[in-house]
Amino acid sequence: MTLERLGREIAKLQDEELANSRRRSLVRARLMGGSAREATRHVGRARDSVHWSLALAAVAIAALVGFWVGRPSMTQTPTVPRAGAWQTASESAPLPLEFSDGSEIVLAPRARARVVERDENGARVFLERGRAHVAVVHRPSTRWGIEAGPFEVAVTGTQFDMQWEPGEELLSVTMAEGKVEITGCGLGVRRVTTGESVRFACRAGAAVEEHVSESPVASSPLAIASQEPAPTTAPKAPTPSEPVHASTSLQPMTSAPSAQPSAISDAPIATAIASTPASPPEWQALAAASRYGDAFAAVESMLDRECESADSANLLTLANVARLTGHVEEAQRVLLALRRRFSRSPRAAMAAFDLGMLSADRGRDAAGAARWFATYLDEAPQGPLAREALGRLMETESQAGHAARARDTARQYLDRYPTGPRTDLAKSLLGHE
Amino acid sequence: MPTALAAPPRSERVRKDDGTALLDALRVNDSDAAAALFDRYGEHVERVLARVLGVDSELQDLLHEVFIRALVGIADVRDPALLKSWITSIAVFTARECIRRRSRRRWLKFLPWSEVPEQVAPPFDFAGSEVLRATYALLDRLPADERIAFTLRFIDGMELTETASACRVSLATIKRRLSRAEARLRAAAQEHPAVAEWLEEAR
Repeated sequence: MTLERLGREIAKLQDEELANSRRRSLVRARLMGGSAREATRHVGRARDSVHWSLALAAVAIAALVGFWVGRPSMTQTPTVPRAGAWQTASESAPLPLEFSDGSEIVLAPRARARVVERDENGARVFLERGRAHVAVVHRPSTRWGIEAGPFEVAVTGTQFDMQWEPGEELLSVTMAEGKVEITGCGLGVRRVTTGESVRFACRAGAAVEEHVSESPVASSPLAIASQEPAPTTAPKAPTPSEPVHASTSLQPMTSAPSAQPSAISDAPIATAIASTPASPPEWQALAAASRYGDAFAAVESMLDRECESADSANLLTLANVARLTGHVEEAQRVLLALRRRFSRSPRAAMAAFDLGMLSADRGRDAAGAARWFATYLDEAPQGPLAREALGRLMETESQAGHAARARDTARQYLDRYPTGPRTDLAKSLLGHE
Repeated sequence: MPTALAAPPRSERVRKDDGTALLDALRVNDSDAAAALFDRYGEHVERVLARVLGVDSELQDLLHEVFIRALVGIADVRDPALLKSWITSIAVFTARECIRRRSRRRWLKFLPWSEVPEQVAPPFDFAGSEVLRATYALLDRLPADERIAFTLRFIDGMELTETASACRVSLATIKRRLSRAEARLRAAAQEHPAVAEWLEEAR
């Protein structure tokens, strides 16, 4: 019932917005102004001609796809790949391959791959050439394998970039999140974890690992989408540092440049966003990925420093991380620091609300919670959480035994929010049915 | 002596019929038919898009896109009684593509209990808009198919069979998606008091 209640409230708010908009009339005018005629005229021509109907329809549909997509697109239309079918990205745009479990493989321009098989736990994909960004949704039974030449990358729920160049027999893997296991070409099992970049050359049946510096954590399909295709240059001779099997020494690459147009880029596959001057602290990236436990572990030892140096938005985030991982005292410390350093700001008011939530949680300190909710209402009477704060003030005043105050607050609540989620509580405090 | 009533204009027939005349008119590129189609289903499609995506700046383009696709693909519709559910499906799949597109472009994002602008916001129903904003922030974290199932069922209020039809999946599949969506949403709602409040049982 509570989901329906939330849904009805959302629908009511949306309907108010939709009713006040000119959106439909603008779209209608646009359709009548030419776009509808354009669409139907092409379809009509196709029907008129028996001999050319199929050909014209194909051309018309292709033109209309281009027409109605209209705006510049950085990617090709996402594809749900069938087992066995080759998928090839175009010269200039990446090709996303989407799977029903939410996993995704984005082929960089000119990359080519094939889904070899699929089942309910995952898929086996063969990367014939080029770069791919792989994002596999983790579930307990997840089992994915990405094959590239003689190598196989086993995946259980991770994000990473990989590149395979068959001419040079070079495999590169850069981990954004999680870990993978690479096997093949006599490698044994090589585990690669978050932040690592590795590169293997397969030489006469032996894998030779090249050292690559750790790459920035941030990796996204957009990194592939935003990069230009690699220039056609002769590959540099790799310098082996840790041969897995030393039976065959690596010879400098003096063979002709690969017939494939792309070459292994010297830059890490996963590149940071160009506009970001420095990587955010690790805990922020982990928190953004909802890995709150890891985020708290990463920041715990420097909590005091963060309290004195982080901005107000990050302090709210940090307090949330601490709260969600059960570190109540630490969360309170962060929020109090925020209120001290950013006094009278909107986020300081938010911190007051959060302090109220911490105090109210599991009935820890109802009276203290009531004071914090009252503080929020005092500092931000029209704030985005005003209704919630008033409702919780009413509740905590009642829990703290301040019956008269709770009834006054209940009257205010019913007056201001007659259809709010706590009207039943307000009415019960006032003795209504 | 009774006189024969003049036949209503063709456009009037198209607008008032049960779908047969509209479908026939669309197939022969009747100039009024596109307008009639939009007048009949424009509000419904806009609402479906808004339920799934939230009301935002892309809604206008997406609404236009749905009707262009409908006009191009109208030959696929055999039964006029299915016209509404067919165009609903187009809206759902258009929204789905939009969700996927947005998720690829989204950078690292974290949602604390609130995201407060530095400026003081103008006085309007902040409480109402906060639950709206927070709900869609939570919905952004669901897989596309679960989000769509949840919004159609619980926000638009579609029946289960209607929801399954709009998503072109079986009843069993839509129930699974709803179950997962509900579990995820309830777990994540603790980060957003504006939403958590609505999900708490009435006392």
